[in-house]
Amino acid sequence: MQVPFSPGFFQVIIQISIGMSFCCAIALLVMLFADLKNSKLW
Amino acid sequence: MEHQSEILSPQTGFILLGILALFWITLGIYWGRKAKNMDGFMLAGRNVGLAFGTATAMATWVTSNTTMLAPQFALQLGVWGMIAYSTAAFGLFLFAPLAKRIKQLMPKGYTSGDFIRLRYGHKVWYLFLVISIFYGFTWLVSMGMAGGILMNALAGIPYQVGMSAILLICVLYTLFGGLYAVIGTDYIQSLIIIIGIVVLGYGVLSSVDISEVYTSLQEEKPMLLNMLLPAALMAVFNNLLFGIGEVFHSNVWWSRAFAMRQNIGQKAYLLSGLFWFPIPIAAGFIALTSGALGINVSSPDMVGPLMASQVLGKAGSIVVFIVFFCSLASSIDSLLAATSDLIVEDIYKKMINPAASEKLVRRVSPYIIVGLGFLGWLVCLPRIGTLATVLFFAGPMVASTIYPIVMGLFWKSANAKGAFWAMIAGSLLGLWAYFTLGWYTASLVSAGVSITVTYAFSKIQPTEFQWEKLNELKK
Repeated sequence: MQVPFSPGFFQVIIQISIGMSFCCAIALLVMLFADLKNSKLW
Repeated sequence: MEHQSEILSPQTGFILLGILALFWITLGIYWGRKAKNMDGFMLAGRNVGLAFGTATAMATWVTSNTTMLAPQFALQLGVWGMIAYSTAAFGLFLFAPLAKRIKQLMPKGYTSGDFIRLRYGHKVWYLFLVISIFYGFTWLVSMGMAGGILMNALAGIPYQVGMSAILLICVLYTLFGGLYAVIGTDYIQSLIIIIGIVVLGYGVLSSVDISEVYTSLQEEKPMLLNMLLPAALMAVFNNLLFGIGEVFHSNVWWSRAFAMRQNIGQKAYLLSGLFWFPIPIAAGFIALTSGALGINVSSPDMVGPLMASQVLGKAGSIVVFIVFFCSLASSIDSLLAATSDLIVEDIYKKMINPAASEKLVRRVSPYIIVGLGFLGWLVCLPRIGTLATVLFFAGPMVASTIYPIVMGLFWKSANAKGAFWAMIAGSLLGLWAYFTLGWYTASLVSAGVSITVTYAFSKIQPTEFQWEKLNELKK
């Protein structure tokens, strides 16, 4: 039996994944500066 | 088999390789100066903060298998294939509470082997070491092979040369810098990987309309859009359990839990899972655009790089080359460091030479790293099997360790007999499933057997384990 994913779902998961990856890169940079500022890098 | 349709010239490939080698080795030497003792070399001084902790877990989990196999999964199993690969993020999510517990119970521990030895005794420890070292080595070989295949496909660098180069670069900077170098480089590599994936994903999205991709799939390969594709649904659970097994037992993750400062491990693993989760979908969807763009894919495990270079041209190929190099290096360095720690601490120090001083152990470590790298190189020389075959063979073995570890960390009643038979029966039945039912059932069967056996023994012959026994160095 075939029940296809909807076009909307297909589009949303791809766009969210790429957008989320971008936000993660920014978050990593913010975390780095916060650790550097508090001398908690390692 | 040498690839004939490379996009970068071998000259460009060698230049990129040279620049990357110089960069990582210099950083390895620079950070290596911080490693004054064994705690420094093996565990980066046990003081790693949130940014480095999150990045190292995330980057290590992004392997070439993520960036090569996720598109292959998408091409063969469709939308569920991409999601299936993403479920491996649960390995990181679920390890978060374990990381907290590990640091509480064993603040001075060194390896996952230490835990198994102190919790379940020597018999289970030997078995665990066999599984863990076999898995670590299999992962290392699959990364080395992937390096050779990629360099050949992207830049026409002969397989043996590319594979040797990446192994040598990683051995050198791990040798000089220990876990300081591994974690520091992992941070930079994780940023490069994420930014590269975003650039490639955005580039592909700009070249093709998603609704066209959907229509093309519906017409040519409707199975890939099917919500009820049985093999794909099995792959979701298999990958989930394989991922959990890989993370829970491997010293790669335990060593990071020991290396992070108090109260950081749980947060770092949760964030790393969150950061990792979208990567396989972002990388995998690129493969699904092949039909809409009319690109013929001859080798499934090369679909990601092929598509990126076709859509984005030479600049895209350079980005792909660097992203793949980073995804490989961030895993190879971690494997070299963590597996050599396991061999040095558990085999050399605990079995062969218990009287060894810290200085002697520190001197032995580099030889183990070089030996491991050399052995990996020897096995990689002939190109054997596909990446999936090599990787998933270890799946049932690692899945069998999930419950002995989880129950061992939280339940006093979990016992050695249960752990031993869970690993034996889980591995054997999982391998049986691998060969008779299909790779996508192996981890599922193994984990099912493992939980049943561990649970049954903890009820039939419960023990009252004293948690203080795990804090060996306190005594």
